[in-house]
Amino acid sequence: MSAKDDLVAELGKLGARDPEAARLMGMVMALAGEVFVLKAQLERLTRALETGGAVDAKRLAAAAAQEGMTKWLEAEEAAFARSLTAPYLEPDLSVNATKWMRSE
Amino acid sequence: MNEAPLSFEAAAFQCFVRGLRGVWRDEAYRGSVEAAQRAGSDEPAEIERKARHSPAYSLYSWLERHSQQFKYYGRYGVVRWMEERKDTLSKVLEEAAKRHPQRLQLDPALELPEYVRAVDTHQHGGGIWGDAADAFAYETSSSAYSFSLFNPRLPMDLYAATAQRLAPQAKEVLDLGCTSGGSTRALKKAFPDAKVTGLDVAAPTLELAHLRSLEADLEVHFRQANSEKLPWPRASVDLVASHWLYHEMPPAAVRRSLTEARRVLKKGGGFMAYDMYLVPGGAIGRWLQAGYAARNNEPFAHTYAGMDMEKELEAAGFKGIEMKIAHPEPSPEVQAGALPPHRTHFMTMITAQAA
Ligand SMILES: C[S@@+](CC[C@H](N)C(=O)[O-])C[C@H]1O[C@@H](n2cnc3c(N)ncnc32)[C@H](O)[C@@H]1O
Repeated sequence: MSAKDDLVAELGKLGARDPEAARLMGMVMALAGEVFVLKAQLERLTRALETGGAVDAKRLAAAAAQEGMTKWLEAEEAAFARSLTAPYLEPDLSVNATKWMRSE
Repeated sequence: MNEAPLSFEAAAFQCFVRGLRGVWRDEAYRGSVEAAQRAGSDEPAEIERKARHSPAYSLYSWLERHSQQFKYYGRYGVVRWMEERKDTLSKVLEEAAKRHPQRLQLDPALELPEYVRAVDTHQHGGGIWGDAADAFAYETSSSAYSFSLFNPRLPMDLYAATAQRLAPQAKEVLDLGCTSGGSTRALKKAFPDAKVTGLDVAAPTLELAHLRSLEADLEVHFRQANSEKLPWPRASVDLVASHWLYHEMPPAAVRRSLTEARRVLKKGGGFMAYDMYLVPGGAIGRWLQAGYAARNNEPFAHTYAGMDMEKELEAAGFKGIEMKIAHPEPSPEVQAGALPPHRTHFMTMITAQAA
């Protein structure tokens, strides 16, 4: 095998080094992405509330008891679990295009 | 200008992806380079085998492949975002196509080359040629940050300035592989009196290019055509330019494209190609570049870097061929063969004249 083909063959083993670790890594990173978004939302909210002087413990408890909040939780639990586990089921969404690296 | 602005959450998610890219570009890259140096080989394949089990390289290659999939297909990914808004985006393009329709020439009969259809370039499933959502997703993705995090707009000035130097009197200018026309508009600003046409094989991106040019109040033309078979007569063009095109074409197609460029150019006309071509850093640099090509589905970034462009251009009928790394400016150490301290996609400017 030529040196060029050898390299392409090695690189063509996409994700081969430890597929389990790659899947888990996908889940961890998806989770981290959610956490990052959440932190950003919380930071934004805190800033808004601080400026407006709008929130106290009683209001938070009332909001938690709202029907809308319950519905939100139901929808979110499904979407959250799906997006977290998707990388485990489908760790690599792209085609393997390395054969094209042999194009003349 | 902002038809589908990212929500606060989607924008925050892109910050997260950018953070991952920072790790890829800095710590994971440096650890990978150390692992490669320990491998002590001049053969990229051997480096790959030996460095494979280093944790830094494992992380580096994972991030290289999957941070892009996150960027496009994560829960708040750009492609998902645009797909949900596809109907609105299609209408926006349809409306734009009705304004100054003579500036947008589509060819529904044009066959997409197989290398465009089959590769999922940049891991964009189905590519950028499918529909409006794909075109907007590519535009948003490429204008936010490039893979190695440099500002993708900066090189446009360089592109325009080089074009002016190469063909100061140009009246007929082509920009091959123009996508949403960023590079084409830069050329129009450089040559306000010339007829400037952006060409691409993908219709939706051309429609978006047309919209953006209307918004910028620039009279730019767009035409759906293959750079391997230009619908222009022999010796009718003063400048054939391209910005990030050839690393998306296999060598045979690049070759045909060079021959076509020469055919349509007038004698003495200018040719320029701005793209990833020269790869500094010896065997490790080549290993990293090939890995990127494999993992980000840019297989022809590997084959293009392997072509002898000086010979190819000469064979196609060009002279005065010059090439150098144009962006980012390589340090003296990199010029002397060292690797840069961060993972960097160096861009090469190739210029020539039609003999
Ligand atoms: C990375 S993009 C170019 C970006 C653009 N020039 C800019 O600066 O924004 C490459 C483009 O080349 C197009 N392309 C690929 N093969 C082509 C060919 N044979 N002829 C014309 N366009 C082609 C693709 O559809 C894609 O839009």
